[in-house]
Formats: sequence, structure tokens, C-alpha cells
Amino acid sequence: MLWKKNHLSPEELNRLLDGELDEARKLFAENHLQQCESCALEYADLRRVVRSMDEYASGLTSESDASSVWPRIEDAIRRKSPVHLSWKERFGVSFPVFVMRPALALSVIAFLMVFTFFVFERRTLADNEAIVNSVSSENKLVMIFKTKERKITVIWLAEMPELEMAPPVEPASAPAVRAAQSAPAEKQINSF
Amino acid sequence: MMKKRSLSKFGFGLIAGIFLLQASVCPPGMAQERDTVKIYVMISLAVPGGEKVDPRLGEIHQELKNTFRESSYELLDEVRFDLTLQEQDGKPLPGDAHLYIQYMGMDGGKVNLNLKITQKGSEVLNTNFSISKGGTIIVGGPPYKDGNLVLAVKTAMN
Repeated sequence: MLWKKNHLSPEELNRLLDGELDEARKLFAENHLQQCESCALEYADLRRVVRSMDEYASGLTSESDASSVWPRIEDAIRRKSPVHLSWKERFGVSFPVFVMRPALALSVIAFLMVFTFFVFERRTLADNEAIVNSVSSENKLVMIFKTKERKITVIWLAEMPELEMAPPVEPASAPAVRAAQSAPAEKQINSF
Repeated sequence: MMKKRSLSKFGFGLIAGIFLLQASVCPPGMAQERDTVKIYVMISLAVPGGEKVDPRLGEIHQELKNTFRESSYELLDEVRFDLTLQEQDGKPLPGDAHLYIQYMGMDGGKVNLNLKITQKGSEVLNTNFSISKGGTIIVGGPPYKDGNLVLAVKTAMN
């Protein structure tokens, strides 16, 4: 019987270790252990526990020793099992509280200083720079541009081109309008 | 309990103090108004054709030459204005024109100026601009003789 979808159950692993499986199941379980890393690891753990129990049980000489067997086995298992370390232990640093608190406070202060710098900072012009905020002229065209080399801002006034004023159009009489409507397109354009 | 409260009060006070200190010290944008600024204006004549540049134009002559290649430049006058806040000063320009310049204040380490040029009673130019240390504004265009007037405006802070 497979445990949790294609894995051997703990009971089956125990029975395999104790040699209680029939030949067919034993063959199947051994084949599975060769292919399944998860079950193989579980089986290895189980074997280690059993071996530890055997070692301690074989070393007993008195009844008082028997009472301490299980704690010793637990201790042995703990030592052999992967250890779950805290992050401090994992990184090999363990700071006392009197160091951690000032360090934390300094970090907060540094953050606040950087934060306030950006909050209160305004955009400043770089050296050698100039910007035009507003410009107006009554009778000139104004061009503003920057030179590439030294970022000099140039305001250049140019003469306003003279615009030809169209002569006022007199209101056409009704027959004239009709004549214009019936005239060819070229003639219409010329008349305006 | 009391000790904890006083500690947290101290912490808040410390943080507020840092904020205030930072706000008053670090930002260049909050520079104080200067009492006086010096404005230098170089008035030159740009004439189309030729490549002659008056050496008295100093560091901007190359810039002018690169920008308006087909012109020669002659320095006509050089003037310095010492302006206090909101003070306006002026200078007659060749060609019946007049230059007015006013110090409007400082903002973020740059000097704000208003510049006006009038010619024959009309306002040819009215502009507000900001110059940082070492920055230059060139105003060009008013016709004079066979060319155009070119004004280079620079500032220096006291």
C-alpha cells in the first residue's frame, strides 16, 4: 500500500525494517526506496532511531539505566537531526540588546535625514545654467534656445514679418452672388 | 512605566529636532535672500559676415562664434549693476534702445532677474529669468548699424 500518493507509509517502512513484509511487498518496497528519495530519507531516519535504541538497550546493566534510555535516545536523535537555527545564529552574529537598540535608532535617524533631505530639497540649477521663466515682446518674435557647449541660454529677438492685410470685402449683391455660384471654380478663386 | 514614557518623549523630541535641523541646514533651495547681487552685462555688436571676434568678450566669445557662425563680434560696452532686492537699474543702449534690469530675489541658489529692453517707446523685450552661479543669458536681436546688439548677462553673488 502506498502512502500519500506513490509513497510508502510509515507503517510499511516499520514493517520493512522489522522484516515483517512478505517477499513481494518487500521487493516492491526496496525497489521504491531506490527510486524515491523522500521515502529513502525517511527510511534512513527510522533505521537510525532503531539503531540508537538498540545501542542503548544493549548497554543497559541495571533497571535505573532503563529509565534514562528514552531521554538519551531523544538526545542522540536531536544531535543527528538537522538543526533549525534562528537567523542570528545562522548568520553567525548575535548582538546583545544594548548594541542592537542604538544601532536600530541610528538607522532610523539616518533614514529620517535622507528622507527629509528629499522632502525639503528643491530643484536647483546646475552651475553655468540659466532658465527663462517668462518672456514677452510687443513687436518682435522671440526665440529661446540653449547652446550645447556651455549651456548658455539665448533669447533672440527677430523682426516680426509684415502680414499683408486683405482688403475689406464688400457685401455682394444677390445677382453677383448668383453669378459667382454659377461661374467655373477657377474664376471663383480668382475673384476672391 | 514612567521611564518608558520619558524615553519615548525623548525619542519623539530627537526625531523632531532632526527634522528641524535638516530643514534649516541642508536644502540649498532655502538659501536666504542676498542683500546685493552683481550683474555684469557685456554689450556687443554682431555683424553678419566675417569671423572676427573681439578678444575682450573673453570666455563667451567662443560660444558666440559657435552659435552664430557667420558673424563678427565687437564689444561696445561693459557695465556692472549692484542691485539690492527689488531694485531696478538701467543703461541706455546704442540704437535708441534702453536696458532695464531688476533683481527679483533668490530661489534655490539662483538669482531671479527681470530684464526689459525698450526701443522708440515700445517694449521690445520683457523677460524674467533665473541664473545660477556662472550661468549666462544672452539677449540678442535689437538692430543697430549693420547688425544686431547682443547682450551677455552674468551674475555674481556677494
